[in-house]
Amino acid sequence: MKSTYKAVLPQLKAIMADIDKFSAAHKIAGKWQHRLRLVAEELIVNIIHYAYPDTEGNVYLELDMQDNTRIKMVIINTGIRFNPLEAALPDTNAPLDERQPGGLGIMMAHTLASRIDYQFHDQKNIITVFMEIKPDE
Amino acid sequence: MTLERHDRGDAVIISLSGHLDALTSAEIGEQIRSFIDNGDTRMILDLEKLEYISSAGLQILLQAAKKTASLNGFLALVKIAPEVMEVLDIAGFSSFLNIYESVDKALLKLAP
Repeated sequence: MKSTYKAVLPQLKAIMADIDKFSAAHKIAGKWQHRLRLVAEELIVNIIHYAYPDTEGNVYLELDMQDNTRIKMVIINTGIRFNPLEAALPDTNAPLDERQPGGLGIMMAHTLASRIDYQFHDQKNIITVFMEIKPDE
Repeated sequence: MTLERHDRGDAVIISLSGHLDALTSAEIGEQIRSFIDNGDTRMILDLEKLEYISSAGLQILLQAAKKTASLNGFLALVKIAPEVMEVLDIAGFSSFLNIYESVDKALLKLAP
């Protein structure tokens, strides 16, 4: 699956519909379908907010199933330099009154992906995510 | 994404269905906030039909938990699907949110 979308929140509906089509085509369901949606949403929402804070642009999304065991996701945008791997992560052991909003999405993407790489190349933010599919889960 | 409200005694039961994500959470959060502002501080969220939650949805739960607690109220989550529970676990939310198997079990805890 390869597609380019406007980097605006309302596009999330179309992006998620395409991700669900990819999942259906590759028999990805249940927890894995939820995990794939979550990782994509969290990264793309952060791109919309931080790579395009004052400007409009596009976000390119590519999904590939490799060897029936690994999802490769590539997300490319031409906004300002934004490396989601440098985002501050929240303390997930903090009690209710100390919990602060923010940082959770990237932290969850880190947790669910087996690897996330970031490159800034040719004025492009390139994020590559690998998710290992384990059928027993 | 839909929200349905039912009253049981002095508790309010909010049933959420669909996807609580970056697109839907602002409106749902606003509705929940207005219920609490209007005195519904003993709240049970029935998540049986909630299929998906992202960090935007978690923020709604966090705000509702903080606001009800600050008003000496109570927020409980019931009937959580495994996919949604996994997100609560990863975020560390299952350690401080009140989670029950059913509305009735949550109501027992809410009994004065």
